[in-house]
Amino acid sequence: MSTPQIVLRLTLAVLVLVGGIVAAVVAIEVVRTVLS
Amino acid sequence: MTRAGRILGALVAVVLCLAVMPEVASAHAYLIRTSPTASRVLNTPPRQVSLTYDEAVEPRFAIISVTNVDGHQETTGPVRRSAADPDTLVVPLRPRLPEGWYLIYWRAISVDGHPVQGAFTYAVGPNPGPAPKFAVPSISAGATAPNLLITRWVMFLSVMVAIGLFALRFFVARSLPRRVDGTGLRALSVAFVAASVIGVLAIPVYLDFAIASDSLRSVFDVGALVPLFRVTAFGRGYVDMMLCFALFCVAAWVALLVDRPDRRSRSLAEILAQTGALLAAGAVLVLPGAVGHAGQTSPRGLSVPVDWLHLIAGSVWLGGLVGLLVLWFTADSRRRVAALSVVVPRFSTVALGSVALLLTTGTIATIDHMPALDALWDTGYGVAILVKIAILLVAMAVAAGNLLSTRPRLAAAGGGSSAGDGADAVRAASLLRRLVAVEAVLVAGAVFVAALLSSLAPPPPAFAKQNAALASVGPGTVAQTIERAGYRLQVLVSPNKAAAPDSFALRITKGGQPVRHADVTLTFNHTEMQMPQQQYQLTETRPGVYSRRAPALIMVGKWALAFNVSPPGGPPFTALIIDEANG
Repeated sequence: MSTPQIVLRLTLAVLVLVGGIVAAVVAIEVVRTVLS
Repeated sequence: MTRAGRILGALVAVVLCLAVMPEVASAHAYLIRTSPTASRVLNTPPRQVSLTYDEAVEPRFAIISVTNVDGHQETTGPVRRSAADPDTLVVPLRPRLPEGWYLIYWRAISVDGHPVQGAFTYAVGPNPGPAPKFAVPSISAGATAPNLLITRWVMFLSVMVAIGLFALRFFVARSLPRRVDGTGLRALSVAFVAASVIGVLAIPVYLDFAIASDSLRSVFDVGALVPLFRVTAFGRGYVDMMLCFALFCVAAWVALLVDRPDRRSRSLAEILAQTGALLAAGAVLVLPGAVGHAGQTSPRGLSVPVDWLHLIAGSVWLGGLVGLLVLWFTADSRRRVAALSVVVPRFSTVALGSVALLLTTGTIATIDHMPALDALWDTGYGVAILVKIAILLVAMAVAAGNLLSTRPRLAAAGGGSSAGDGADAVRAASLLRRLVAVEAVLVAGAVFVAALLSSLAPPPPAFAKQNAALASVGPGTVAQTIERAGYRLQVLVSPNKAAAPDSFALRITKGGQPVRHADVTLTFNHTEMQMPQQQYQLTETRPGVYSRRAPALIMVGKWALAFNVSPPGGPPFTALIIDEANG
């Protein structure tokens, strides 16, 4: 696998990881509001 | 302990937990105060009606109708929130209403998205005349309308199947291409993408249907509905769920793109993408509970995580079953047994854990939601829980068949010859397909009941009063004799019809002698709907007979009638009966 391919795959993966973290933060905020 | 023993243990735990159900109540929007007060005769006509709830309900989704005996509407403007109290809704009335009786019918949407409704009467005096029989309006478009139920079911099914397929594809079946030559994960990936696309579409469609039902608009009136999406906590929760599910889909699709199942260990890109997808999947599954019943049921710190784990377990089980069927139908017939002998034993272990988690969390949630044990068979909500338990028990019996019969046979085939397709293994694979198909249909049926369950209002706390009742009477004229605190009480209700003036009487005797000069009050609580409590003083009309005519049975259904008696020279006592009134 060439370096650009590795960079592209890693970039995509980091982006969707950030997306997952955003989703988790949204859920935590909703639950926190419900519990408060 | 053997597997069968563990399953038996789990079942015994369910029965034991159900048997020790405590009295815990859940909360919907409860009407806690009204002005004018129910059944009160006012000397001056009120200028407005105000209804105070135990939470801030949204005026744009609320209806307050005030009608006279002819059904003429007496309100002069829209429902609005009181400036002084956010929990109070007010509606202006026509000035100088004439003498007579009026019916107030209200409908509001709870924070968790459920419509609640009720009705009561009041009169403008000083001479309103006898209370008439009102026709109580009924808005049938509740949270259980068929279109709403089906869209909710499709949404839950697609979201759960997508997340379950993701789990199966990445954490159970990933090693398949390495272990069995000529097999691949393409079919599972395609099935996952299909389920996720349906889920992405199903969430906004459900939200559109739900908000249309709450605001009594057409589902096609999208321009008016979209601005209302984020008005209630329920709507906000589902918009957030839509966002999180979209993030999950993107993350999972990227995870599919970067995945290289031919390599045993995962690359950094794979780990990052799968972690992102797992975080988003966890977020998706926590939101329905947080904005639904679980988020409204005390203790919330317990009920929200329990609901979350329940949905995770259900998703892993259902999605896994669908995945096994996809594998069976798409695998090359020569390699089918070999492929199943790799995936089935691994999935069985995961499924067993899921079922155990499902049972545990389902039991805790049931205990949490039911105000009393008999609410299980006496309320629609309880019956739906029993139906769901029954369906899941049958599904578990089918799963046990797989676990005890087909799994060892397939595992043996996998561990034997490299082809692994002996006659017994082929028969086992065929049996597996039939059992898994039945199991998947049953679990999908259980998800349908769950969709119904989460659309129904849990029984109100007043339901628990039924267990303290000395008798259950009605429908029809009541003449019931009960014993209480050494007194003989005869309860008389006539004609015992809803929305009509009924006569209530209590004859009190002790040792055959009438008990005179007692103080008797009668309180009314509807056990199935949220309404304000009404209280009347009964007057002694004959020696030992205390009576009153009142339009107290406003709606059909079961009413808790509590006679609070203070006999002269004796300790006060309460006699509670459950009276069913029909129309």
